[in-house]
Amino acid sequence: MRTILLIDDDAISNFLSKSMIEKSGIFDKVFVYSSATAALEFLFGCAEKEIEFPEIILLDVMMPVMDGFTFLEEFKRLDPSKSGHVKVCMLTSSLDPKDRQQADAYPQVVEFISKPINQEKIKKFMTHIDN
Amino acid sequence: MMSTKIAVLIVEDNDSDYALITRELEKSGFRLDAAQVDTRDLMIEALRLKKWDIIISDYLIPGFGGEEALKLLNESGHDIPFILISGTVGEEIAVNMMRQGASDYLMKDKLARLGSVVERELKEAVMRSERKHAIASLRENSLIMRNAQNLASLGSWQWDIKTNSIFWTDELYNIYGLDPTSFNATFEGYLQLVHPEDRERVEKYILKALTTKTSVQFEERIIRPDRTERHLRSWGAVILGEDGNPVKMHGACLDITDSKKVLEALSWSEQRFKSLVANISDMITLLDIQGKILYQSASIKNVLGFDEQELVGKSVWDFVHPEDLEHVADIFKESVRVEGYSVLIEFRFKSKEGRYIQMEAQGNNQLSNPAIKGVVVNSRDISERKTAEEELRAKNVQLEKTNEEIDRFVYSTSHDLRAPLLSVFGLIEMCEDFYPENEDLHALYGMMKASIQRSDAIIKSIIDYSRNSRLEVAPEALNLREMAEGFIENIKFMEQAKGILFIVEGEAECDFYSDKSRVFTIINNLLTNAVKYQKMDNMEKQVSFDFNVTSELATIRVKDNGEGIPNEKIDSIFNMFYRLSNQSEGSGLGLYICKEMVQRLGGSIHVDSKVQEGTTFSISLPNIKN
Repeated sequence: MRTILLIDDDAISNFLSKSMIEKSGIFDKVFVYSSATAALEFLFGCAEKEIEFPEIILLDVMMPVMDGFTFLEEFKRLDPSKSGHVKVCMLTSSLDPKDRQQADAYPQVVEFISKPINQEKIKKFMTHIDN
Repeated sequence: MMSTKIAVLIVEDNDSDYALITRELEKSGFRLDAAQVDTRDLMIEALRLKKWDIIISDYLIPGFGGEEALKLLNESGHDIPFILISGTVGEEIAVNMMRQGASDYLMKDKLARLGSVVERELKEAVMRSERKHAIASLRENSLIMRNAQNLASLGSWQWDIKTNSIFWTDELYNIYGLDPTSFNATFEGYLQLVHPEDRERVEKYILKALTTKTSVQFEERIIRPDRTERHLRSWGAVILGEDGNPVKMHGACLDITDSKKVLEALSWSEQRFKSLVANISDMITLLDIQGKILYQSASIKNVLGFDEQELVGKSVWDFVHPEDLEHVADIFKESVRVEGYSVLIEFRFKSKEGRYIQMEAQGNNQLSNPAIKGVVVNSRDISERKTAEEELRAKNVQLEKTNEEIDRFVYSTSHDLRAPLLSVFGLIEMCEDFYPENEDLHALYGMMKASIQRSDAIIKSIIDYSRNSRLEVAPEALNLREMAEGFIENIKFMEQAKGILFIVEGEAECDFYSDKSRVFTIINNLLTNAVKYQKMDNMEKQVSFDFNVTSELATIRVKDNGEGIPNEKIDSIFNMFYRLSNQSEGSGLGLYICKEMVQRLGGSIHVDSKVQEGTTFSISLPNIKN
């Protein structure tokens, strides 16, 4: 089963992204969380319950309470034997080049895409997964 | 017995008289070199040919005569004794002849006296000639004296005390700038010429010399009629009369104004140097090879509170802050070892109060300079500068923080503005999927998307503009090919880019250094324009990017075969918010920002365009490696 995790505080954005991903037909299940803390809880839960991690995380950068980069730091606390294969794709409307630079420092980040997501962008980041 | 040989010219027409004369002379012991003339021409010739010792002439000669012979002699300029002999000449004629220069005359019947007359005349002639030489050499000497006095500006004087009259040499008049008529040549007149401030002193000196009957020497200033001042050195000696009292005083004056001036200039420049060295905040210290102070400039008083001599002989190492000691000593060792080694160092040095002062110093190895033989150290108090630097650093940190805050504000605002726009954009795309057949709706969706893209473009441009005006140029090595190809990679899937042939060409003979984000924006803006303004019906759409990099600059050309820009509008395209037509999708900021950024990078931008043929933008950017 192919799964993907979507983390974004913007409900409309989530609706759009979820629709587009579902439409692509690549994934069997799309998990959607509107906060990074909730998403982390979900991931720690997966680790605990021995549920397989999602293949890829679509991660927004600017979010209240916990932003995308803090999430990436917290993500390191997960058992690498379970989280090691997870790829991250940053999804943002930020134009700050520093965000891109910062994202490049994380090896699991494979793509940095601008909103809104569409089929072409999905295809593009999927190349990193399937290869 | 005399045996003097004399050259004698005898003016005589009568041969027996001639013989008489020569015999008489030989009888007197003369050896003769004699000649006889009896005409004017012969006389002239004889005077020209020979230097005669004596001329003996008859008074009456037919066609010639004693008077005329004497005249010829006088005209010749020779000083030869002329003795007139006659049998008839009277007293009156004889006196007249003597007046005209004849030495003596003899009656023919008294020829026996001729020997002694000649002898006397010869002696007198010798004396005359010696006197003449003496006078000539005397004249010459006084001329030399005058010149010498002139050269040395030395004049001499004499003061007759009884008559109170003063005699000055010409040179003394020269020194005083006076002429003899305008000088009241008395003691009082002299005193009037002395500088008022020196007058009393000079008078005292002279009176003292007179009362003690000694000589005197003093220096005084005089004022010339043209108000200029001269410095003189004067000597005077008292001459005593027979009664032992002073009757005269004589002496000399030397004009020493010029040498005085040189001395004054010297002492002034020395004073100036001293006060400079004392007042500047720089200290000059001369150290020996061990770091012992050999000389210390007076300015140490201002800087560290020590007196000029206080530290001389002491070791600098006792005053350097212990924490700085090792570093400073290392540098000093190096500058002693290597001639010409000079480096600026900072350290703390103990002041007289015992407080450590932040100093900066530079040593200069002058050990092999025979005039110095030490290490010359220039040092100064940099506490204030340090504080100022500290403040500046703090201000910079504050400024950077402010800048960062603005940066964050700009990005988060733009993010918050864009997020809903982009959501709407995504929603519209979803709508398009929902109603794939409804063409009317699709036209409307298309317009919505175009509007949103324009809003987004404006937000992006504002960010670019804000960044460009705020951020420093931060050069790094750039790969122009990668930057262009990366952009093309992103754009080529977009609707507008369909059917365009992209060509990237170029050479870089070295790395190109410039500000990445600005160059990125410039390239993006130009390539976006090249894509955007294509001709719809063109079947061979083409966009080319070519570049060339040298160590001096990078030239970039972005060329399209699109719509082109009308001539009358080409000057306006770089203006803020300028748009070519109402149909243009852009914000009117893209090229304005390009130009601003190119200028910020120190480069230039240029455009060539022809309607329906295409547009070429050429940029040159300096390679800012340093």
